[in-house]
Parts: sequence; structure tokens; C-alpha cells
Amino acid sequence: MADKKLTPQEMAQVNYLPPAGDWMDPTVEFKRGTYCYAAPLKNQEALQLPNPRQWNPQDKDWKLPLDFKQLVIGGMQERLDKFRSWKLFLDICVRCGACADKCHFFIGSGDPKNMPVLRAELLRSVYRKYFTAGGKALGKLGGARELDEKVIKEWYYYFYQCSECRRCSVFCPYGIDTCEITMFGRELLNLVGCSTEWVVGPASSCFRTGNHLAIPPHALKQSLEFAADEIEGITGIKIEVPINKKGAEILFVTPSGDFFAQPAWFTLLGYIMLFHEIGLDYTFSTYASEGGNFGLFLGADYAKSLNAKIYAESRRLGVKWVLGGECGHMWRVLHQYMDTFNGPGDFLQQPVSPITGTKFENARSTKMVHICEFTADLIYHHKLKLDPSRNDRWKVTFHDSCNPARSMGLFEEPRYIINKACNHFYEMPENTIRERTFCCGSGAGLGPDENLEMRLRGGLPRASAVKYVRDKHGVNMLACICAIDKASFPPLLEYWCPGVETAGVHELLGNALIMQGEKTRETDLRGDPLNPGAEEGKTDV
Amino acid sequence: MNLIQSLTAKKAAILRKWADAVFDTYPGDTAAFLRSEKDRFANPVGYATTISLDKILDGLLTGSDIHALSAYIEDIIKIRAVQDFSPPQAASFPLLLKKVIIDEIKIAQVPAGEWIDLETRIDSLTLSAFEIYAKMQEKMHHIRMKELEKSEGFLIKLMESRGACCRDGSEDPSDFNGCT
Repeated sequence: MADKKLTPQEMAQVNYLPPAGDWMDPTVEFKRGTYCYAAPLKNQEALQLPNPRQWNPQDKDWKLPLDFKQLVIGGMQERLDKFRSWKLFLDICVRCGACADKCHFFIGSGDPKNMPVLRAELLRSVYRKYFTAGGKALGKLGGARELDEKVIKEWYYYFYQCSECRRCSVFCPYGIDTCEITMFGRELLNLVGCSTEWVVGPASSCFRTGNHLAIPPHALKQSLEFAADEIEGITGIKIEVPINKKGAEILFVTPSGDFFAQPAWFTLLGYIMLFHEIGLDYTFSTYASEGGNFGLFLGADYAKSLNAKIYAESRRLGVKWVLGGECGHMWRVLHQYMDTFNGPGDFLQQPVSPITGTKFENARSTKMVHICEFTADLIYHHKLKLDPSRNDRWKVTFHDSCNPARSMGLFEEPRYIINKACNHFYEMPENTIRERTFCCGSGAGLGPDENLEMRLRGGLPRASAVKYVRDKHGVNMLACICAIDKASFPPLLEYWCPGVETAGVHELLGNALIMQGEKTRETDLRGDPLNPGAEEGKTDV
Repeated sequence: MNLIQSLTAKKAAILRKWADAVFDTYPGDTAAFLRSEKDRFANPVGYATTISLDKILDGLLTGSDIHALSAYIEDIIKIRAVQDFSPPQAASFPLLLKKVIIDEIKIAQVPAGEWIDLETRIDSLTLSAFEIYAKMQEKMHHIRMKELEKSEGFLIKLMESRGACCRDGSEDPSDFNGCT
């Protein structure tokens, strides 16, 4: 992990104690494995970001604009005027410490600046210096710091060590949403041209192609055809996957990871099988081909722009309502921001399940329903035939993905589906699930390979709970409903608790789903043989 | 009473001080948290460290083979290998035990042979910790490679299924323009 080559003499001098340091000292060292690469020039230009240039966080000179201080202070002022919540969050914290030990990055890294309260202080201290009488008069004594280039580097380091999961906010007696502190911190960094490739790259692809993976329409079509071929191979049923179908009742929007990344791909197969089985009148879109929104990790304006395509495409295709796939931050945007970003979606109808007649009252405003709500309703009304024994090789636990859990309160529906689709389900310990769920450590743009050590630190608390149920119950499958989880858990679990795989809830549903006219299934959606005898004992649910 | 017997009698105190010394390799606020939070899920680092040190000390005092203790050493090193430690800082936690023992017993009265035996075993633990540290670094590289291969392998499978290319390169991958 260390970059510096040590001489034998230096190696022999091991200092067991950490360097004594004051939190106000902003010096940070960018060690490989613990930070995200900067966005390359072409992607900065694609998004028309300020101060475009080629740079690297390990450079001594970050080539900040000469007036970077004014830009950041001006940016703070603008946001203080615009967002009352932010002013409140900066002013009301009493540093009680309730959040201090709740962050997975603090727990896993042991770095005190990852205590949410201290991470926020990195920004608050600058706020005090330039916006409060106490800070102006007392300076350091009043907890105020000058803004300089070192502080910008420190912000870049630590605001990209927060996955905006909001676990800390659950414990804050004042309801401070530290995620929003990070969001604003990143916006301020953007003003001086400091953003990461893993956020800017996908966001710029999304502006160009409609999705983070830069999948053009014809490639998306081929991917869906390939999915249909895979399903035909497994079930013997040929499915035409509807794309850009005008007049369809429902537009289905899912994260683009489902189209090209494993194991999310198997979740996609599950969706398509389900929709075919219930005869749903729906369509994929090659324009609204991304439910996720990396603009959220860059700034509110970018999030708003990237979100706009969902209502625009709904209007163009003339659908009645929108159904959304398994994704994490996508649902924070859809559930909390879409209405005011780009709504009201009053040209759409209140979502009603065409199969059960259930009115989704909770989606009356946004007109967008979560796939788990939709599927749980189908199962509850006995509209699906399921054979849970097809998942018998899996002993399953469920990871509450941060945003559906803490931003939507979606706790029971995924568990309901899993319990109907699988015979072996085990919960992780209570203080690691539901609203207290631990993040995977790779959300909010922290997921690139170059950041692996940091991700492993952040993922340790979640992995230790998975390891517990693996050792106690023999759990070998972690189910989740987030595309970033599906991408980040396989390496994370391989390091911390080998032998546990990752799946989407609708992959497990697809395995269990008994489809009309299907052949005897020999494999599950992964192409692995089903358990001997799994075809026996089919039950209606 | 020989050295091992003396240490066994004081095992609880030695373990506590060794754990404290390991926690003190973290910044002050963190060390306090690692020491005080007893819930294993709220404090997985503190929990894994305490439990593993206990097992290692047990093994050391009961004459276990060092290799038999490697699983416990791994539980600690796995964590320290990804944290903000240099390789020697990460792997040298067994050496901290020496000072704890010296502080705890009257070392001048211990026969040299007994002390050298124990010290050699502690040094062996440290070497084992270095070996595991290297293994963890290798594992991280392996994980990175595997992720790369997985995403590339899926794309090739998809392209082949669409007839866009073959593994031997006999067809033109550009037919599947954009999937890169």
C-alpha cells in the first residue's frame, strides 16, 4: 500500500504510535489504493466543468484557478442563500458525537476524520472562518480555519471517502444529513475543477448516450436480445423484449449495470421472465436507458439534468406510469428529488398494477413504482407460481441497500419476495440491517478499482455481519437491490468472507418462477445445475 | 515457576496490555473507541483484534505450532493490510508483546534460555504476520485482475452470441460498436 520505498535503515525504525496530529492540520497523503483518480480532460470538457485540465491528486500542484478561494467562498455563500437546510446543518451541530462511531469508513479505517462529525467539521471550520462572527474574531480558537490549497486537497480526500449512505443521520439527534454536507462539499470542489473520473466519466457518458456505460441504442438492443436468448436456453420460452414501444402501459427503467455487468445481468433475466409471465404491457427505452444518476454525486444541477430523461421519455412513448428496477441511489433521486427536479409528472396516471388492480398510493406523486413493491404485490395476490426449491443451493441473507432502506423505507417487500422464492433465509444481526444497514463502501462514486483498499475499509462492517451469518448458518448468498452493491460485493466478500456470492432479488425470483410452457429447467439463471430433485415439489404461492 | 507458568498466571493482564498496545497504534480517538465499544458488529476491528490476540497468546503459552495460529494472525493482518499502516507497522503487532511481558515480569530473574525460546516464538509470529501481509497484498491484486477478467469475459460472450466477433478474432469486433 505504501508508495515510498524505504531504506533498510528506515525499515528497521518502526514507530508503533501514530503521529500526533491536530485535526485542523489539513495535510493528507494520497497513497495508492485509497483515493479516486481525477477526471481526465476530455470528460471534464464533455460536462463543461470549471477549470478543465489534466491533473492527478498525487501532483504537488493541482493547477487550481488563481481565484480558487473566492470561487469556493462565493459558492458557499450562494448555497447558504439557496438552501436553508445547509445553513442549518452547518450551524446546529453541537458535536455530541452520536454519529462519530456510526460511519462504516470510520469503523473500518480507524481514521478519525471519517467520523461524520469531524468530516463535516472540515467544511464547517471554513464556514466559520468566513461566515460567522465567532470564527472571524477567534480564528483557530473558535474552530475556524483558513481556506487554502491544502484544505481543498483534504476535502477531495475525505469527501470521496463518504458514500453518502446516511447511516450517521439516523443517529443524529438534530437530524443533520451528513450526506448533504458531502454533496455540498463535492459541489464546492467542482467549482475549482476537482472531481473524480469514476463520477464524471459515467455522468458524461450518460449525457451522451442516456446511460453510464455508454451503451448506444443498437448495443442495448443486442444486449436485450442476448438476454432473451439466455432465457430461451434456460426455459425453452422465446421472449420478444419490447424496446421503445410507443403506447405501452409501463416504461421500465433500470440501472445500466443490469445490461452488461454480472451478477446484475441475472437480475435483468429475472425481470424479463417476470414481465413475460404476467403478460405485462411494458417497454424498455434506449433513451431512458439508465435509472442510476451519477450526476447526484457531482451536484444537484447535474442530477436534475440526467433525471429529466425519465419523464421526457415517458411523455414521448405515451406510457401511463413508470416502473423502476433494483438500484440504490436511483431511488433516492426518484423518491426524494424527481418530483421537484423535473415534475410534476401529472401527464402520467397514478400507478395501478394491471394484474392485481392495486393502486400504488405511495407513488401518486412521482408515478414511479419500485419493482420490489410491484412483485411483492403480485405474490401477495397469488399471481405467480414459484418453486423455491430451485434456490435450495443458496442460503440467503439480505443486505438492505442504503438508499432504498434509508431514503424510501423499503424494508419488507424484498424480504417478502426472498422468503417466497427461497427456502433458506437468514437475517444478519439487527444493528446491521434495515435503517441501520451498513453500506457496501463503494456507493456515491467510490467504486473504482484504484480505490480498492479504501472500499475494503468501508465494506468491513457489512462484511463482518455477512461473515457472522456465513459461519453461523452457512449463508452463501447475499441478496441485495442495488446495482453498485452487485458490482462491489463480489470483490469485497472475496476478501473479507470468501464463499458468499451476490445476487439481485429478481435473480432469485427468476430462478423460482414457474413459467407457462417452460421446459424442465436444468440450470439456474447463472447456468449452474439446479439441485437434484429441485423440479419436484412445485407449490403454488 | 518457570516463565511460561508466570505468564499464564498473568495472562488476563498481559492480554489487556497487549490489546491496548495494538489499539494505541491507531490515533487517540480511534483507540478509545476500539477499546470501549464491545458490540462486535459496531466495532469489528476491536472485536477481531481482541479475540485473535487472545487465541494467539493462548497458543503461545500452550506451545502451539506457530502455523496453527496463522488463521488468527490473518484475522488481524487482513484488517491492518488495508488500513493506513506501512507494511512494518501493519505486521509488527506481535513485537509489542515483548515490551508488555518485560513490563509485567522481572525479566532479570528469567533464565536466558527460557526468554530466548519465547522471544524466538514471538519473532516467528511476526514473520508469519509479514507473510500473511504479503498474501493479502497479492489477494488484492488478484481481486483487481478477476474483476477485469469478469467484465471483459462477459462482453466477449455477449459479442460472440451476437456474431460480432470470435475469440480467435476472425470476425470484426467493430460490428458491435459501442460495447467498450
